[in-house]
Amino acid sequence: MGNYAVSDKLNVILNLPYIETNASAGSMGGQNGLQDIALTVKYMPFRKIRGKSIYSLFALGSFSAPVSNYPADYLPLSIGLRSKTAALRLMSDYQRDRFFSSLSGSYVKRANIEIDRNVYYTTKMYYTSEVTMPDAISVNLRIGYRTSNLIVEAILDNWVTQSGGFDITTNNMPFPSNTMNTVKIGLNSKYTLKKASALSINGGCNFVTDGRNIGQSSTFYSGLLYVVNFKKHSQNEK
Amino acid sequence: MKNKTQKIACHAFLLLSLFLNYSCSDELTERNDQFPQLNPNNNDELAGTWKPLLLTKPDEFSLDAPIATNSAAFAREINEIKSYQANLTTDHKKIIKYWSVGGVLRWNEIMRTLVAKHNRPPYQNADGTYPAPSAANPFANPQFPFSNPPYAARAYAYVSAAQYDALIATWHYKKLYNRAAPFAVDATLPVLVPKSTLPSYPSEDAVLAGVTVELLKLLFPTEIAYVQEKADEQKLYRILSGANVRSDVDAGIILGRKIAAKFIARAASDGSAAAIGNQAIWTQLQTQTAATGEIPWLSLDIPARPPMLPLFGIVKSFLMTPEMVVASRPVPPPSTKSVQFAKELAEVKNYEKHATRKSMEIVTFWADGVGTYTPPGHWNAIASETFVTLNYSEVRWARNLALLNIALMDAAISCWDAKYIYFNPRPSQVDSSIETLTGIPNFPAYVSGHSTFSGAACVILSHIIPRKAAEFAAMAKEASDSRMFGCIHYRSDCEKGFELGEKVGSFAVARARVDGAE
Repeated sequence: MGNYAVSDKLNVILNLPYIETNASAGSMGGQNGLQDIALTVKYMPFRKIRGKSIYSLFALGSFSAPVSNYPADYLPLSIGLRSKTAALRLMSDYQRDRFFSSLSGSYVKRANIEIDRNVYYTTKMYYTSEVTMPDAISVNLRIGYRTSNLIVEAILDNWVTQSGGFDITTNNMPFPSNTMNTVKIGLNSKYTLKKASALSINGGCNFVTDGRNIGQSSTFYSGLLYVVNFKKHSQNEK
Repeated sequence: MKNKTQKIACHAFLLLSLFLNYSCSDELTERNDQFPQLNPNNNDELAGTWKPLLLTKPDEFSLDAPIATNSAAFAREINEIKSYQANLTTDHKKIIKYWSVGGVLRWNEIMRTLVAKHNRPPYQNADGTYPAPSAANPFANPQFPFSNPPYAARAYAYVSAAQYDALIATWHYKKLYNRAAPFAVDATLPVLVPKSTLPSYPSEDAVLAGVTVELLKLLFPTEIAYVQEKADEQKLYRILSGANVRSDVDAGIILGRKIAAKFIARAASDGSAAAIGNQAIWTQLQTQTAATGEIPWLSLDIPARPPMLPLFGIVKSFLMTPEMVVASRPVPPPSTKSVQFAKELAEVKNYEKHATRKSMEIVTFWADGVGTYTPPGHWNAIASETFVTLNYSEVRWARNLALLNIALMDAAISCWDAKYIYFNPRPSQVDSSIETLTGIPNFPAYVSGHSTFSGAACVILSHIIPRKAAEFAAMAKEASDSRMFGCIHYRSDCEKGFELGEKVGSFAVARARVDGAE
């Protein structure tokens, strides 16, 4: 993951996860590899400070594409869905003192994918190796506490695939173009060390509370973040 | 500088939102939408003399003589065509485009869809046992059928065999009654499909609809509404397109139904209903194998599931006697205590350790597992996409698919015979560290079903189209190898399975040489 601040209003974020899957039951082998590279441009066209309140508006554009030739049609053990995506997110943020709330919504356009089979059945038979992927809408709400070296936030996230997906059937394998909806709640936190401001610790959890064709998973994570400052004199510029 | 980057950012967002709006051409190009209208090179005018599979003679079932083409009633039937053609709708045109590719081909595709849709194993009960689908109560949970590979092989074979016999009878009556097609009687009648020089009574499409609907009622009872809708479209297509009058179609349905009844009676007593076995038989398979000192097969499903159709080996074949099944049986697999077995197990482990993206692709391409049209369906698709380039008549289409599907059913019968005679374990049962690249089928390993199906399909298809023999052989070899690459079969399973397939495929070749079509 990389994050580069072009200016006070423009941020470029790069993300490339390495994924490993393993089955907890049965004999099917897991998969691993580099998944999809995602480039996000975050831009703040509007910011207003009134007393203790700060209103800001962000627009985020992102694009993702697989970097390795991993198979998508090996669910639930494939490391991703292979679809190139383009997404546009609008986010509004309101901060008063150290408390903030942030609401955003995004439309994710997903491109067709190629699978290793040249025929497949969804709700009808398709004699092609190309699969149309349903687009998705994601809505995200965050409420929390933010200071210069501590961020704690509660998240509510809803991901809804749009028309074109279909449901998993009993005792069948999942398929990349399945409808996959989730409602997640969770907690994120990030603490930046006062003595070494380049180093921060993050951690959190999230829980799927509702969904369709998706596992009801609980996720816990923690990590270390080290910031490399490319622009040594950025402080002087200000 | 800052202004400039912000401008770029603004433009980038604009472009991105445009991209989101206008890059939505998700349309797929499906191969079976590109097929041309059927326009046979050769009408096979003598097909009424070909040897049927089950009928004793082409006119075993009678068909009334048609009304004369110079009668007032016939003129009214031509008026029906004209009245449809005066107001052809978009739906009508779609129906014509779909069915004019060929009735045997389209029904074969419909079959593959039904097999894929119903190829799902029952979900377990709360106590870990499994319910069985019931033909008597097809809508209950689990729905009937579970169209696994043996069920599917038999279903494809019955439909193809019945279509073949029905079209021999059709060609017989076409020649006997020699009634001209509507466009030959009324030269002003527009025809929307290639004109056939064959007599049009009875309609071959209607015979196909009649015979196939009845068989599919038996094989896929929960799909009757869908199947009937397709049949109604096919009948309408012949009238819309000016290829047949109403009485050609009505007679075809009657003839098709009569012939279907004979196949349905055979299916009721071919032993397939008992193929599922019972607890006593499942236990006996284990104890008799253990008694020989070998490791008996165990289900690796969670919870453990009874073996798939253990008595399918005694289902009545169209070409093999029970003695021929036993005579074709492969030699026993390497003993699970032998050096040979250890070597083959190590080879499987090695495929797991050195799996490549290419081997994974081969495994997935040929897996044809749950939710697919099964390996027999895959060979039907390969055959159909080859036949469609060769402009066969409907009766030759039916004959070639019947030979293929009877060979595939024989492959299922003899492969299942071997599996349950030897009842030997899958690699992951013997070495639980072996992780597979595809699901482990719920039946014994020796011999490989994919290899047997592919060997049989390769032999009969290579006989039908000799110049494609090398292509079929390469595909069959890859399908067979895919099971080793997927770590669910040993080399012996694949090699002996392939040989078994070639052996049963040769029975279909022998039949092809004497059926009068070559």
